[in-house]
Parts: sequence; C-alpha cells; structure tokens
Amino acid sequence: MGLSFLAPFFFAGLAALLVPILVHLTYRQKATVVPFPSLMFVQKVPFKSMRRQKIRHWILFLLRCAALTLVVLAFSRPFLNTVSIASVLSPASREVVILLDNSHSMSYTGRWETAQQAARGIINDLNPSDRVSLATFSDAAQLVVRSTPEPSIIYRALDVIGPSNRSTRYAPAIGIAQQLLIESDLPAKEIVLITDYQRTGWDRDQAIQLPEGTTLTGIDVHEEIARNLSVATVVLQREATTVPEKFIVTARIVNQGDESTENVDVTLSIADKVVDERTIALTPNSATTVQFQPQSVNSEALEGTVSIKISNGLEGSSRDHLPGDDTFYFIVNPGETLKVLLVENNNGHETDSLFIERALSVATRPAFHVQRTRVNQLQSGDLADIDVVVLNDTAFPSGAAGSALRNFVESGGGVFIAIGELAHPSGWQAEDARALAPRFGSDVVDRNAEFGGVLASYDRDHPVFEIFSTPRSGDFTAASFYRYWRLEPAMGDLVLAGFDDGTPALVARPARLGRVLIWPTTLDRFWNDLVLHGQVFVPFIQQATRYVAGYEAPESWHTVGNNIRLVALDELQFPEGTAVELMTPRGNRMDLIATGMAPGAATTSETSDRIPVDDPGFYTLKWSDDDSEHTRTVAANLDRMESDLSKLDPEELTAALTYGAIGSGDRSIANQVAPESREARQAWWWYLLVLVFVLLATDTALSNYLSPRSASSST
Amino acid sequence: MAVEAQRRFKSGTRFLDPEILARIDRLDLLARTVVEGFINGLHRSPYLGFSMDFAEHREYMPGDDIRRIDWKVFARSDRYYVKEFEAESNTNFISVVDVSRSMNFGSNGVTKFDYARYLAACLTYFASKQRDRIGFASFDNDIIKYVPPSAKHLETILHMIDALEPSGHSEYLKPLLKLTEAAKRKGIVVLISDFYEQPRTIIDAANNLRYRGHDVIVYQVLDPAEINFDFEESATYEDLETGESIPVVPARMREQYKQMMTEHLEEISSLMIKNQFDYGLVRTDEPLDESLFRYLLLREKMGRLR
Repeated sequence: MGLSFLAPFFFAGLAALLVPILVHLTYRQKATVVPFPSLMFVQKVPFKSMRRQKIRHWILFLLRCAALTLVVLAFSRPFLNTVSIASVLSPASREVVILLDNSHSMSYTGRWETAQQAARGIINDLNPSDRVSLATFSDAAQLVVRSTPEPSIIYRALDVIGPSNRSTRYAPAIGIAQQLLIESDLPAKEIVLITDYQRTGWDRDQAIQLPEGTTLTGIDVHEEIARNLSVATVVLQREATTVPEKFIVTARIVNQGDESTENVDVTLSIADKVVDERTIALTPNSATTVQFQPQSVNSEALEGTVSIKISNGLEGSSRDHLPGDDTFYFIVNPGETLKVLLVENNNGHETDSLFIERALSVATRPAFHVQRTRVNQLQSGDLADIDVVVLNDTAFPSGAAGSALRNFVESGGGVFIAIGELAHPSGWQAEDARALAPRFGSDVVDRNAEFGGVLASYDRDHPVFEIFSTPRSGDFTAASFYRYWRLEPAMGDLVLAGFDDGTPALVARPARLGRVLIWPTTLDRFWNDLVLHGQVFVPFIQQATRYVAGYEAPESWHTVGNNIRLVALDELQFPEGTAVELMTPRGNRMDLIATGMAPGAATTSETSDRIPVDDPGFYTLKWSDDDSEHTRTVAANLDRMESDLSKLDPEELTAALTYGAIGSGDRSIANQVAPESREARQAWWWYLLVLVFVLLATDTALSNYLSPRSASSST
Repeated sequence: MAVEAQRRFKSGTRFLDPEILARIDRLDLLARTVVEGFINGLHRSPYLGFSMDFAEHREYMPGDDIRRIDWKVFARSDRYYVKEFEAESNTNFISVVDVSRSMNFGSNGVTKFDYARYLAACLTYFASKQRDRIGFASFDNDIIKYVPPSAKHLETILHMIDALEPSGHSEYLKPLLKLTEAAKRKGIVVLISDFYEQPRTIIDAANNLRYRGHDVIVYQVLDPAEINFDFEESATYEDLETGESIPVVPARMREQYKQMMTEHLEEISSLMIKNQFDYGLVRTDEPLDESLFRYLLLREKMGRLR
C-alpha cells in the first residue's frame, strides 16, 4: 500500500541537491566573469566579509531544490500501490471481468485461498462507478456474477465457489470475458485473470484476441512446486490365453516436485480390497512404472484403484500438495472374448480356414474364440452365444439355418462373408442370402494374365480400414488378387474397397441391427496372396471381425469433464426411454433417462441422459428391464494434464491475448500488482516532469527579476 | 548622460567629450579637433621661442638678418645663403603613456587606454602647436616605444599612439629610469597611467625624472567604476594584468573598497604634491579640456618661473 517506486536507485540522484546549494553558497559568483583593472584592493578585503556562504534568495534556492527533487522523483518512476487511489487519478469507469481459475490445480495447497484473497483485493479497489463480473473457469467457463456495481454480490459468490476437479483451459474463459466486454458500454475495459498459469491450459494455436482497448491484468498464484506425486496412468494388460483370464495392472507414478521422495507406497485395490502393494522411491521430476501381480478377471466388472501414499507420514510442507491425482480409478471389464463361428464349405479342405483362424487366434482385445463347422451342419442353435459368423467360401446355409442366420444378423449379429472358388452364385440365390449379401455375377474376374489385380482403394475413414490410415501402417497394394467375383452392390450397400479395375473388393451391408461384410475372394492363397502379407492381413481380419461384431472396447475409465451420454456408453444396454439411477462418487443420487441414438436428443430440465462426470471416482448406474436388475459402474479420473503444474510464462499468454489490446500487466501475489504495469498506467513521471519545467521557468523569471544585470562589462 | 552631452554640444565643447571622440578614427584629426577647438576659446599664445632644428638653406633675400647668413656655405659657393630652421621651440615635451592591460578597462564606452591615448595625442599636438619639441614613450614593465623629442615627430608620434595595444603589467621604476637616461635634456614629461602600484614606488620612479630636471605632469586616469565600485551583481572578477580571479560580492565590499581607493588616491596626491609633481586625477567620463587646462596652467607657471 502507498507510494512505491519502480527505480528507487535514482534517489541517489538526490545528491544533486548539493548542486544548487553549492551554486548558491560557493560558486554562484562564477556565473559571470567581470574583467577588472586590478584586484589590488579587492584582495585586501577580508574574504569572509563577503559572506558568500549566505543564501541570498531563499525562494530561488527552494525552487531549484524542488525542481531537482521532482526530477529525481520522476526518474524513480513513482506509482501508487493501491488501485483505489490510482483509480481516482484515472477515474474513467471500468468494466472489470474477474476470471477466477477453479481448475483442480488450484487445489494445490494455498492457491485457492490466495486467489480468493486476490479477487477480494480487486473488488476492494474498484471505484463506485465501476462494474464487475465474476466468472470461474476450468475446461469450461461459468459466469457466476454478471456485470454488477455491487461488490457484496461478488463477495458472497466468492465464499460459495471452490476449486473443481476439472482441467485448465484458458480459451473459454477469455471467450466469456470477451463477450462481456463487448456488451459493456463503459469506456475502460479490464480483464483480471487470477490463475496459476498452468502451461497445459494454453493452446498456442488458439486464435483468441481481446477486444481492442482491453487491459489484461494477470494475477499469478503459482508457487514453487514442493512435492506433487501422481498416478499418471494405468495400463490394463489382459492375458486372454490363461484360464481364468488374467489382467496385469501397470501404473506410472510421476514425481513433479523438486524434492525426492522415499517410501512411496503404491497400492492396487480391486473391489475395495488391497491385492498388491509396492514401495518405491522417486527422484525429483522423474517417473517410474509399477507392475502388479496378475489378477483374475471376474465375470462381473471389477472396480480397481491404484493409489499412492507417502508412508513416512510426512505432513505439512512435506506432504503431497495436490492429493487429487494420487488415486487412479479403473474398471476391469469381464472377460472380453468374441465368439466366432467359422462356417466352411462342405467340400472344403481343412486348411481353407487356416489363415483366418490363426489371424483371429492372436487377437487379445477382444480375444476371439473360434468354432468351426460345415455349412451343411449348421444348426439354428449353433448361433446362440455367437457374436460373429464367418462364411468362408461356402454357399449360403439353406433352409432353417439360413433363416436363423438372417435373424441372427438382423438382431445384432455380424457376418463376414468370403466368397471364392467354392461359393458359386447359385448357392446364394435364396431370399435370406439375398437379404444379407449382394448379387455377384456368374463370371469370375480372372487377373492371372496380368499377374493379378491390386486392391487399389479403400475407405480409410471406415472402422475396418481406419487402422491403415496412418503412414506405414500397412500396404494393401503389395498383395496380388488373381481372381475375384464381380459384386453388384445394392442400394444401401457401402463399398469400402475396390480393385484397380473398379470392381468392389469389400462391401458393407447393414442389416437392421447387424452388420455384414462381403469379401469377393478367398481368405487363403488360392485366389490371392494377401495372406502372405501378414502385416495387413491379420489386422484386416481382426478389425473386420470386430466391426461386424459391433465390438467397442468398454472404457476402463473416463476423464472428469467429459459428460457421457448413456447411449454412448452402450447403445444396446440403454435403449431410448430407459430410466437409470445414477449414484455419483460424492454419494448424490440422480435420475437419468436414456434418449436414444439421436445426437443432442431433447431432455427435460429435470432429467438428463448424460452422466455428469465432475468428480473422480466410481459412478454406479442401476436400471431394470423386463428380466432383471442391472448395474454398471463407470470409473472417472482427473485429467492427468492437470497434474502437470509447470507454469506458462505469463508474458507469453498476455502477449498472445493482448495483440492489439491497449496494454497488459501481470501481478505476482508477492506484490499484488506488477509495478511496471501499474506505474505505466499511472505515469506520474510525466506530470512530475511538467511540474519541473514549470518550476524551472518560474526560477528563470524570478532570478531575472531578483538579479539585475551586472553593472558593466568590459569593452 | 544625454543631457550632459547636449549641454556640452551647446557650449561648443562637444568634441572634447571622450565618448564622442571615441567615434573619430584618426587620431591626428581627433587631436587637431580637440586642440583647435580648445584654443579657439583662448587668447593667442604669448609664448615665443626659437628652434635650433635646421630645416634648409635658401638664398639671401634683401631684408634678411645678415646674422643668419651661413658663411661656411658662402666660402664654398661664393653665394649668400641663410639658414632656415624648422620652427622655433621652447622646450622638450615627452608624453609617457602606460599601456599595461589594466588600462584596457572602461565602463562607459571609453577605456582608460583610449582616454590616455587621446590625452597624449592632444597634449602632443598642443605642444607641437606651441613649437615645443615633442617626444613619446609607452611602457608597461619596460619601455615599449620611444620617440625622442623633436619638432618634426608629430606625425610619427600620432601614428605610434594610434598603433598602441595594451600589453603586460605595469611597473614604474625600470621604464622611467630608462626614460630618464634617454631624455637627458630637460623638458616637460607628461606621465599618464592608472597607477595601480604602491604610491611610494610611483613617487620613487617619477622622482628620477624630476631629479634630471624634468617638469613632470602626472595624469592618473581612472574609470568611474574603479572609484565608486558600483557593480551590482556578484561575479568572478578577473585581474586584467595578472589574470587572477576572485569571486566578489560587490555590495558586501563596496564601502571597504571605496575607502581603500580613496586612501590610495589621497596618498598619491599628497606624495605628488609633496614631491612637486603636477598631479591630476582624470576620470574617463570627464572632458579632455580639463586635462588640457591643467597642462596650460603648468606652462603658464613655467613661463612665470623662467
């Protein structure tokens, strides 16, 4: 509080005050030189009798001292350390928007209290004519108080709000401030950004600019990171080959503090039971991985956590200052195995399905359990509990089996059809077959003369080929296709790939709830050599099978801030109208209504189809259908980006945001206000220098008046 | 000052005002103007003299004094020639001017140096008109220029006075002793200086001339500012001769200065009178005629004495 100086060392210049004193006392007579014939008598006059030490013109002396003092004062760049007094000097009414960071990193010891205090300080310093808005921001901005001249409203709001569990994003906050300032008609516009300047919150590519004439003042509540351990991530590695299926939890523990930490207990809990525990030591700014013993997968989803704790019982400054990221929540879903029924031609060789079977057998997530049967042996009952049927170079099942297969697909099952040498078009004339597969001509396209055709194009955006969309992820063009059937896709069919002669190579046909893929050539070496290109064949087969199965790996955890629609969680489990009871980690109960597939389907104000993932922990969903009660648990974790407390250079953020705005400044909590910005805004030095010029002009006039010209001068 | 100048103009003595004289570039013109203007108001000079300065021979004309026939020439040429003399002179007149740098001071438009030059020029011209043999000397700490007395040296002396420049610091003993040695024939010596020296030293130096038999007229030329010390602004005062500087607050020391100056002048005056010098204090704001009168009075006195 009070008067401060940007360059106090200039006060050494006050020594220059001696100059007017010396001028007045000693050297004033040197101002002019009067030639005189002889100093014979002058020298005889006693020196002291001249009384040179006496100041004759006190007004002049004081004027000159004042001018020098003001010059020194101006150069020392004074400013008032309180906004309120300073604002009296620049009394234009301001529209102030306080952006208060309430992301999870603000939970770091002491930061939130400091931020609240800073916000109150800003409000205290407002003029009565100012208006202020308060908005909190994390990954989204929320306007708490819209432009008000009444500080008490802001005070009450500040008492209520607290840090959230969400991550930091500056863009929404600046956006909301931008909107408020554009709407304001007050002449001065100012944004006060109270934040810990977390680097992860700023995206350099964000093209956000403040309105012209806006002042951005940053208040930095970042403190040096003493100790912050976090469970950065957890990897669940499943071993589908073992019986029962096991999973291995590997956790990555990060120490982002500047102090090394010994005796960190890392605990793995499954279903509220501690199943494994390790003790590790972490050096400053380092990370380590901890792998736990394999655990068995249950038939039901298991709730698991990996948590860390400093076991030497350190408290106070030695403890973890951001405990929110010390626990990682996850769900171990029940055994994820897709059952595949491989249907072969009656006359086929045993090795006809060798490649596809091997390709599927090496998949882990999900694992494929492959059963083989002949097409004439296929029974309706064989399709029970089957996820995918692969018709490998065979005719369509006839009779009840064919109908059963059609029903299977239309009720959500998947079929992958490969037609080759043994699958003659005549075998695909049945109605059920026509419903599931497009027609294909009686003539085989023979490319042997050309040493084979090439799979020239495929839809990289389709889930089947998505994994090949990145460079060096697989090259289909290396494979040669010697023979293939000419498919004739019907309306609604989707051609996912084509040969170089334009013939469809892979056609997708939706069949109500199910999916069908038709591959017009063999899955062995007979009509093509794709199987020899394992780097594309194996993932292609696995991905195609997953696709037709409609498989989506259940998320082991979600991130706080990403509200999840029920239908997105599992469209089969939550058809439209399903009433779901939600229990949040805080123990709050909510009622949700599933709204179906339509994006942004209307919800009433009382009900929602979204799980508000605001806190880390487990969200339990309960619902019932005709048969029974169901329960499902969703795990949510803090955005681990928030654990990275590294600081963004406030100048960088300010510069990025204030390009074209009037000015900007930063405040550190130590000084409340960056002296440079405050001094620049007040600019007292300018007024002081003007005063100096006035004083010097007065001095000149006065000295001319008081000191008439010397009596004479020499010729 | 303007009223006084107007008064002098009306009384016909405007050319004697030093400030007006300062506008006349040629010194001979100045001297003639002053002296003739001065003489116009006087009766014809009663003093007659003769000169021994040979001018030329001319043939004898009937009526010439046969005593003036040069018989030596008649013996050689068998013709009568009479001797012609330049002028008739009464006495030697030497003006001695102090040209030290202290003389180069003036607060009213005319420096002491200029005033001394005018005075010397006027007196020389005046003396020349009186048929005196005129000589000139300038000095600082030594004799700088010396023109021996002669009835024909007027132009030389005026030219020399015109070309004078202030230089050096003044001493009296050495230059006046030298002058005494040079001017052996008795005459009138006019000593013009500001006399910033101990009075006893000045008297001792001037006495050398007097002991030789010269009639010594002493003009002490001072600027009014030197006498009154009426400076207002405090400043650094620089000694024109030594270059020494002293910060001075005039108001604080004026009285003491004036007192010392008065005592100095009184002491010089009393010693001069006591030693039979014809002494006069001349202020540079006074007309030259007062100085000329002083000279005239002296010649009158000398005439009576002889």
